[in-house]
Amino acid sequence: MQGLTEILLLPLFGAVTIGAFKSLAPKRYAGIWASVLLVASFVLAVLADVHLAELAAGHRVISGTLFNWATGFGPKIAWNIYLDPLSGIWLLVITGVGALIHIYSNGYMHDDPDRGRFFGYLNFFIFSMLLLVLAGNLLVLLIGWGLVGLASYLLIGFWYQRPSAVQAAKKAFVMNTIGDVAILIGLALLYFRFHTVTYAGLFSTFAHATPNTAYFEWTAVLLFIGAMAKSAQFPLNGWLVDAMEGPTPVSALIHAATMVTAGVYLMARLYPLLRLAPDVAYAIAAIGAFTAIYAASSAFFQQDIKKVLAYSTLSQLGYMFLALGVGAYTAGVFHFMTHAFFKACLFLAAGSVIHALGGEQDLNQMGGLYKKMPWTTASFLAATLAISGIPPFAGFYSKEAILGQVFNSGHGLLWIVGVITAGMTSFYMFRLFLLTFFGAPRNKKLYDHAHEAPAVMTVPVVILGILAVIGGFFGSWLNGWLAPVFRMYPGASHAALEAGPVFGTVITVGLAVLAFFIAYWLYVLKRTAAKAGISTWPGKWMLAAYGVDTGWRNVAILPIQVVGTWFRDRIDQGILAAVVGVANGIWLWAEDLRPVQSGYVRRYGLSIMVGLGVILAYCLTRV
Amino acid sequence: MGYLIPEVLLAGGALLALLAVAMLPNAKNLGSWIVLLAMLAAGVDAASMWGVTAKLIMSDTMAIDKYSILVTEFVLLAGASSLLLAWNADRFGAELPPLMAISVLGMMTLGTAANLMVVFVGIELLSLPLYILAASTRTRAGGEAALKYLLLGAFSSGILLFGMALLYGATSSLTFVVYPAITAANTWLLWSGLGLVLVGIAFKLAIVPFHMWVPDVYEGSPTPVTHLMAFGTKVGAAIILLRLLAFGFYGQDGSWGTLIGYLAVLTMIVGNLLAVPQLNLKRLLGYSGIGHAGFLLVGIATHSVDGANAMMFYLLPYGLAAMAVFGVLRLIEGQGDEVTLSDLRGMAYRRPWLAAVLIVGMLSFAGIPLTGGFVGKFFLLQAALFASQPGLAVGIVVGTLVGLFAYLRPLQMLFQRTEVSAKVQHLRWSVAGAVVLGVAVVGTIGIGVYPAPLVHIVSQSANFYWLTGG
Repeated sequence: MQGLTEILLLPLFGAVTIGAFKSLAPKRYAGIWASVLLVASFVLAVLADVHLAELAAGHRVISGTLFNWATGFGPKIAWNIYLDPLSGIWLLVITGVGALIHIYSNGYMHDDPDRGRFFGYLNFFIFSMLLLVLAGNLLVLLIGWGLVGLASYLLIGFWYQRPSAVQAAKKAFVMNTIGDVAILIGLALLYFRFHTVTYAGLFSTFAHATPNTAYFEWTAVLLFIGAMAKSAQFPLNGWLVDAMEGPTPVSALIHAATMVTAGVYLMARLYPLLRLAPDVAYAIAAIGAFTAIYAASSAFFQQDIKKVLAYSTLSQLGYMFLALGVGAYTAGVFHFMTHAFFKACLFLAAGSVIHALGGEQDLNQMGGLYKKMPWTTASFLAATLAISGIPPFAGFYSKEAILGQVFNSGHGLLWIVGVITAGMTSFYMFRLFLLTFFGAPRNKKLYDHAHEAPAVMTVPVVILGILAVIGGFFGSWLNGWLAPVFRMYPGASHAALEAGPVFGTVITVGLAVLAFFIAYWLYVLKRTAAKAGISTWPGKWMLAAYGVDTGWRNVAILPIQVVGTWFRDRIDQGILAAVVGVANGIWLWAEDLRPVQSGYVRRYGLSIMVGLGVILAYCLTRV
Repeated sequence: MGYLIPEVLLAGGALLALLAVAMLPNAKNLGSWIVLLAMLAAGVDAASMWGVTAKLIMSDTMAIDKYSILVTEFVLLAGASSLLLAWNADRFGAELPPLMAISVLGMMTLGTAANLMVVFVGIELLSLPLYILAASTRTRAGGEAALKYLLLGAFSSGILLFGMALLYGATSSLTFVVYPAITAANTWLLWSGLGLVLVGIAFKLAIVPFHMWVPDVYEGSPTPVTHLMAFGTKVGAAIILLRLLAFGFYGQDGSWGTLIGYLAVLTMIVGNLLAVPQLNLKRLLGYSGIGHAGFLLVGIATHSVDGANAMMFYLLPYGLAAMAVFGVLRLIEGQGDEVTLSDLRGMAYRRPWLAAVLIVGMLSFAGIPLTGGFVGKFFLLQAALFASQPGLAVGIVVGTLVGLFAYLRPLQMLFQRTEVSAKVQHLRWSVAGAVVLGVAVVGTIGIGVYPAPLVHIVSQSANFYWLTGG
């Protein structure tokens, strides 16, 4: 299968070997070993994609079966592997960006006594994510889906000595489980109707199904809930910001570049289903747009360097869902790719800053760092320009592609939301950039000790920075590459990249530039403090992300606690009593039967004769 | 005649072992080695025949097909594991290995039988050595077990033989593979014969109400012999019942299917129910074996290929679980022949690995997921539902539920922290025992997690309807 098995198994092998030998080998080997395996995986992934490109355009699929899992006497379920241009993009990003982040982690986790465990988890995550992406049927995808959730849980709670990290890990896991259950139900609905879970089997039946029936709408809703949970779309967004408790490379890899885009992958993969459920498709677009503006505004007053980035991730994921919802599949995937570059770069650069400041993440303690950390500053700036949509940086192209198609497809309101969000993005990102790297140092002691990160960290950051600059030029190539995927089934009229109206581009870029000047004026010229305004009315709300967490507590957690307590005290005790009663009944019944077993052979013989008599009588009535 | 090489190998091994133990009485384990090697050779040779075209041989009295080959492998596993459990134990006597080999030969014969005479020969070949083996420790309980087994066995053999005579009278043929062409006529002679034959085989399979001998015999016999009865005899009796009914009498399905169904439900419930209050583990396993015979009958009662598949499948997880449990019992009992529930006290803390093996075996008996027993029960349930027989499905569920109670009670003992029983304290591992336990645990969990290969093999072998055409 063109090395797909090897791509998949190398990280798993790494996780197992690191887990087995981490206390035997010197500590630094774990990181080197994990990175080497992942680089090998990346090389194989490139080769697999090259092979894929050499196939005829209409037949760009590599599929195979690892083994038959449940053949049973009923319908068959196997571990199918499936690579097409869509999963090929994810494959490259996961292994490529993953490898850079692994290398970076060698520096970032250098002083952590437990880094063997860290790299074991990290490799395990890569394996799970690859399984999710390379799965050839929804069941294997769901297994990968569950495993990335587990890896995310383990890595968020990596510093399990901190209660806040444990809380955050738990929260992420519970919210993701809501999504997992929804996908499982959706999967069951599909399985019961079509008796298959493979993509090929499902899509061939989707191709001539009637759109807009209740069945497809419900199935799509359930699968979308799964995607919402994994990609932290409103209202299942609360866990992503808390997940910043994990080490920064984890935030870059899992909570920015790869895992949180699994929902985008699922929806892009299932686009034939979205065609059949137009109402759900519109809901996806609306929720995406809402999440984009909601998260962007929540980022305005954040005090923590990583939390700003977390909200910006939410916001950018919102853009991707907006694209998928209006049918601009290629644009959504394009934005996923550029986002992986610039957001991983931002997180890693932020990690370098945190590293330089001895673990300090508060913006109020930063400032003026550009003199100390030139490489990091340059990369961060490139990525900031990219995310703000300033031409010709990567984010400009992908965001323009999305907004242009939202406009072309006639979703005026959603387009306005997207454009305003673009301006807001530019403001909060430049606020972050200027507060961190410019102005006067706010904490002299930390500033004096700050230093540029070692090469093992700087080089990956700079590589990602370069990708953030040039990533946008891959657009037309990506368009051609993905064309066979979204052309294979009907209903993808807007799948390819389209140009939007010129005035739209002018407004978007104009707003972004204006936002930059406002940020520059506020935070450089006027030297406003980072915590300015957080006690006023809008600031308080925005800092708390409009109280969604409190809402969840009141709507879900407290009622469930009340119901749970009631069940424990009343129903559970009743069930227990019933079980004990049944057990006692069985016991008495068994004791009653015991005397029949007397030990006398003549009794045993009699029993045989009685049985024989009954059977003979039965047989003779049949004649 | 190359088709009977496995049988010839085993018979030759038995004779050689008999000679060897007579001429070299001091050579330790010599007879066991000879029989074990003969069994391995027979197993390899049988496996090499897997691709054979199914055919009748010996004037149409024996059938060689994938069904008979798979049965051969199953009973050889039973025989080899029993032999390993008796390894190094001189107190069972030097004649134990050859006798076990002959008993296994009888079971293999049942796998190939296509003729009632061969069935009878197979059953007697299987039983006669077991009567002797039951008494091989020369204890009071052993003598009682052997005598009871012999008396009741003779009784049931008489019934079986009489039934065969009636069938011969009704069809003028002993070759049951030609019955489908004849039995279109429902005569009282035919039905009486069938009823009597059913009783004869049901006795060997320990179906309620022909099961009374089981607990007494299991309790009195040495543990390796009990294991051979629990695994091997069950396989032999179940597969000949399936072949005889599902093939020889497939025309009358509505009739005997119902009868077998009632017996199955009765056996599942009574067997598991009586297992609950037992204090002696071998008695408990005896009743559990009765319950499992009921589960096996479900596969026959559905009268479908699904059911035949499910029953064939169920035999292996059942046998592997028996290997695990009897293996642990054999290690605990040491020089004795008896293990009670209280002998298990504290094992989970003192002998965690052994306790884990026992837990795996018991959970597989009970049908807990991730063990082979669960998959087996699942397929039986599926077969019952596909055959539109909800009564059988309910019986499986109730039987399993009651059985769970019986199997969890010993496990509860493992975790009693207060005291550790003397037998557990003085327990000694043996290599042969470890081999049996290793195979049992790997097999049980392997089938539970990844049943596909076994399903594939079984679905090829249980399809013995090739005979219909000829």
